[in-house]
Amino acid sequence: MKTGKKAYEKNAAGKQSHLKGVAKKARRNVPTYILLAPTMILFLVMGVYPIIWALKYCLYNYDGTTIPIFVGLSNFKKLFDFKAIFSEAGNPYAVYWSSWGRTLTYAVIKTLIEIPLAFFCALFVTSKIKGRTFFKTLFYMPQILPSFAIFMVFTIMLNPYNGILTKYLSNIGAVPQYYNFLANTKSAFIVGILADAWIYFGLNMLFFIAGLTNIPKDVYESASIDGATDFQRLRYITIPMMARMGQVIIMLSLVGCLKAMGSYFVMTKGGPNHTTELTFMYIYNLFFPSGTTAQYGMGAAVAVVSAVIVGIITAIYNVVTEKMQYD
Amino acid sequence: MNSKFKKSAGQILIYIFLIIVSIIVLFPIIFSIMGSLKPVSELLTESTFFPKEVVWNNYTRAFKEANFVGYLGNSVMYSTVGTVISMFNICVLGYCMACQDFPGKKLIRFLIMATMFVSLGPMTLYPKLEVMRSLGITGTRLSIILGTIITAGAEVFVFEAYFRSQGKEINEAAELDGCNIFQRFFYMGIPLAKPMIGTFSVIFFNRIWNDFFWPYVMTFTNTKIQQLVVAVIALKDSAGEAATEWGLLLAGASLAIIPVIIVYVCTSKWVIAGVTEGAVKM
Repeated sequence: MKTGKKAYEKNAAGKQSHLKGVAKKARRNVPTYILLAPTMILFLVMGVYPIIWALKYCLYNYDGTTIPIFVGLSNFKKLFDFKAIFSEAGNPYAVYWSSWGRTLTYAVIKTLIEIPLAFFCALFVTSKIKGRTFFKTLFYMPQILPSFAIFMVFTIMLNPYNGILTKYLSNIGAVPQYYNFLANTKSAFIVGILADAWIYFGLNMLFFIAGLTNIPKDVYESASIDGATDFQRLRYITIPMMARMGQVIIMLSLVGCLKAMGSYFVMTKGGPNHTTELTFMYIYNLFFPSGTTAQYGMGAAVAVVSAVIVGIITAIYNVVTEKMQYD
Repeated sequence: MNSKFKKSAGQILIYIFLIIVSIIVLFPIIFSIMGSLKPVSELLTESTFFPKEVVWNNYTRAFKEANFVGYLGNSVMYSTVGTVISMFNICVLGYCMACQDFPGKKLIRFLIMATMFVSLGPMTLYPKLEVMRSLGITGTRLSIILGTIITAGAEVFVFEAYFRSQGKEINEAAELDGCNIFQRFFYMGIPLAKPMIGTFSVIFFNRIWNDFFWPYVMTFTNTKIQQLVVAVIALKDSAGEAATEWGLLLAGASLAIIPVIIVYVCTSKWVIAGVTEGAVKM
């Protein structure tokens, strides 16, 4: 008992001296803190405060005009009340869960289109052809353009009356004349994915190029000496050696898609009838609705749940990629 | 002979593939520029790619009636000021994390990682808006800059690694010579990081130029301070399905796109190198 007390005292004394040391160090570093202060203030207000705000207001009923009322977990209960969501027609939270379905579909289809395209572009611009730098520079360009302006241009190109793409596609018989791409659920969804793939394939191409240039050159050389054809080298060297990197790129693309609002914000506004509304756009609409009143409390709750879902998937991604690096 | 023929046939196929992708990439961009040169009547009735008659009417209208000079000026101003502030933020954090040992460093690192990991998406717009409201600066240019600047993110760690790779010796020598941290940061840290600052300035400038949601939400009440991209989308929203404003919209889009392309063509080497370096570190 006594020794325990002594040990405690000793420990406390140690802690105190440790604290003293920290305080001394902090005092010595006052200039550092002064240098960091403006940045840290901006970061705390713009980066950290919104997270704290969300954790507080997800427990409140708040619409911005009346005083916020503490409601405990009721927002979450409404969101997870699957019985009501399935039985009631027009339950507002059914759209939230179906938005996750749409987001996942969006992620899978976009990745399926974008990754093979990016891989072949990377493969060809790293081969010994003329103009490879030109092609590489060109293919990355969509990534740096103002995407919202581009989506607006796509909207004009796809209008049913005289949109240039509508005209071309109806001329070859792919769609009926005066087809309204953005008013039909399926075509609007696909068009949005294609517009986003148009923007992002260049970035994935650069990732693949980084991987391809890491493959040691002598492997190829010895294969050529052995008389391997281009196709054989692709099949038996490049693809196996890129497999791991490719998995990382694919998962990065999938995880990135979860946070997408996609091109739908400009092209369809989530319509027709919420069928192109991805999860993050659903959150946006709770905070900045057109017509109805905003629901900041509910919005915060939805955002927290979504952040947890995205966080879990990202964590799985991190664990899996780390494991792959050790293998 | 046969294998040579096969090889050149393969090359031709590769070229065909690359050219098709190039056309897909260039199509919307050139369509936007071509469309902005068409008279409105042609935009409404015809759907050819090249204009039958080139007119500058859309641009004169954009500058005279629709205040696009102001929007363009706003874009330039936000991007320039925002890039300088963002660059300072990232450099300071990177430098202090790499070269300074101070209590609270771990906490800062944790907070940066946490904000990177937690993705609340568009929700963060509202609390930021409330902050601006309580400061009484909603609908001012200052509020837009404060919201679009980059305060801390993955770039901090890129800069930290860079400063660390420069070695501790110079820093320690300067400290022994009696340089305080401000002198060390401004006279040694920043000059050392010049190549990195160059690359990331281009990337930040581009990011702020293209930034959409924050300025869009902030300028519901005061449209005068919109930047170009936001102004174009706001104009599209207000015009709705009506096609009469298409000329103006395409002129605005082209005005937003062309400067980006010019800057990109001049700096693409750095931009691509910067992104690829990040990819390798990933």
